Amino acid sequence: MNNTMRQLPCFFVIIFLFLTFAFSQSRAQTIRQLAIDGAARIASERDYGFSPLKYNGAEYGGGLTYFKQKSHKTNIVGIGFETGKLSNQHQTGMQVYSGNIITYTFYHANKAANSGLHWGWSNNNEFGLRDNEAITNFNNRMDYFTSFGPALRYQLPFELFKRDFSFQTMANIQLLGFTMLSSYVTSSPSGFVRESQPFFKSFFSSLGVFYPGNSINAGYKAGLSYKLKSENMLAINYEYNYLRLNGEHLLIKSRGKWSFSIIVRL
Amino acid sequence: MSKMNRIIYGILIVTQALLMIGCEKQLLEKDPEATPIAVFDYLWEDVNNRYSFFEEKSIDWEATREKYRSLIDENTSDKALFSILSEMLFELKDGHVNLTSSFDRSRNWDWFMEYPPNYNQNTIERYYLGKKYRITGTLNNITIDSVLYVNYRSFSDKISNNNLKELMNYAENTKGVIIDVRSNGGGSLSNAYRLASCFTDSTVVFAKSRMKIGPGEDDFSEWDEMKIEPFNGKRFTGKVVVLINRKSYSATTFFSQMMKTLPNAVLMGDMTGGGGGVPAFGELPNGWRYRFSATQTINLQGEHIEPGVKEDFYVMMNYEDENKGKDTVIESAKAYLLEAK
Repeated sequence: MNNTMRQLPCFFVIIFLFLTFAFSQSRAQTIRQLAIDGAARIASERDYGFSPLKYNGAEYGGGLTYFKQKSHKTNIVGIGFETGKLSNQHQTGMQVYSGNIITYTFYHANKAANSGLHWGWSNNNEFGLRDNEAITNFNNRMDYFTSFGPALRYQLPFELFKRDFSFQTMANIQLLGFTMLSSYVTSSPSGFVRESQPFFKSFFSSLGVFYPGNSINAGYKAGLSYKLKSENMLAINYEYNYLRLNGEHLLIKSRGKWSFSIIVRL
Repeated sequence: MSKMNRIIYGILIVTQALLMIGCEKQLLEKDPEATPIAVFDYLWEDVNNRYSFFEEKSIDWEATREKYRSLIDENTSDKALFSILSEMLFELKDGHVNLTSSFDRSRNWDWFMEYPPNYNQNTIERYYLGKKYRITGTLNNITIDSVLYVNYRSFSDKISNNNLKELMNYAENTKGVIIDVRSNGGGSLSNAYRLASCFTDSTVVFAKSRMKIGPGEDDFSEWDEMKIEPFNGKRFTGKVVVLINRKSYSATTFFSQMMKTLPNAVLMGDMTGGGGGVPAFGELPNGWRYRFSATQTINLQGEHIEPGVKEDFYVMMNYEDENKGKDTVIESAKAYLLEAK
């Protein structure tokens, strides 16, 4: 892994800290919650920079999600990491790592905050790294994108055996943003092919545009939560995510994640 | 909302989620067909797009396609297909080009098989290293007649900074250093940089490289300087002789180019086998893997190092010497260092 790839996850964590800080500032009439997730994910990826073949397998990981609900809007910021080993139909293996920070803002000015349909917007920042075991040089390939798009959620609280439950679904589609992917041949993004170039010049020349028809990212999450007497909650979720990034080579990922969450009221 | 509506919405939500479960693989289109023709076309196309030496080697890749594609049909067996693809890749005349299947690995070894070996490992082990040589990490070394002789078998074998510090201690107060990288087939370029860094006190530009950045024949990055930075520790700036032969390949060719650029080092033996393009890899629809050169490197005179780096002093093994347990190239290097002022 070269220096650039080591620096990108740090950049990524800084964004999460910044967003969490920004969303946690206002204190009036707010409900704050933190979810701690453990997750298993079924993933299928195809990176044409390596191969025309699909690599499938399981990944494991976890994350944290911070919720801040005010009377007129809800902010959510989540960070997640997954890693696992995928393989193609010929049993060639590929170790994969990924992490993302996703934010949602849902508006509910004249509606109940914890039920019904809410519209809003979302921002996803995702980093991925693949290490193909069968390859000696340029065996790592990376992808990163930051994007924005509309989001929607539907919540359905209900009572069963005198206990409080809630179904939630949440969907987002990312439409506009920027990308950074490994170059045509090397592991580094295209701007970093020339090592002697200044960092910021390399960084900016590596950026691509994320726009409909070129790249897309869409996610759908459904979950069932159960409220404990302590006001904390337990939840089980399934989240499907599809990603298509068009860089020097096309990259496609299709992933389904099961997660179990403990949601603590702060 | 009535209780019935809530139940209906709940069922809809659960149904939506269940519909998605298990679709992860299905929502990615199927793997491409792996018929002999499809495999041939994929390989030809990718090499056409990403190989870096068509122009320098005057290879007509379109003509190569015509020549070999006609030998394939839908009934071609795996082994016959492998053989045809191997022959097609052989036309690239490149040691960095291979095709790997579960049953064989194609290669082009003409770059050393058509020349005398100019190296005998037994002679080195029995008459030079003997029983008392030092194994400093991956660097076998011994001081002979006030000259430090270092034998390094593969640039894939990692050299640590501690190994280099010890080696520099051994080099101190000698009349010179011989680094024997004959028949070293290459490995990691970082080891080449690390070893060369011990023999210079200043940053030295030794070559320029560029990479394929697109499918067009002129889609290369701009030339980028390749530099050796001085080792952070004791260094040796006395005379150095690097022993090379036609089987010194890839990272060893880069190392030879680094050392050739240093004013205190010379290359002795026969020119290196080449391998001046860093190889990239790919995978075919049937799971076979291949590699090919995807970069170019030129020396400070603007010449490609793909065919090899030329020696400063041409010395061939004398077989009468060899029979007496002497390595003509080492003896010449010793004489050069002991006579040097």
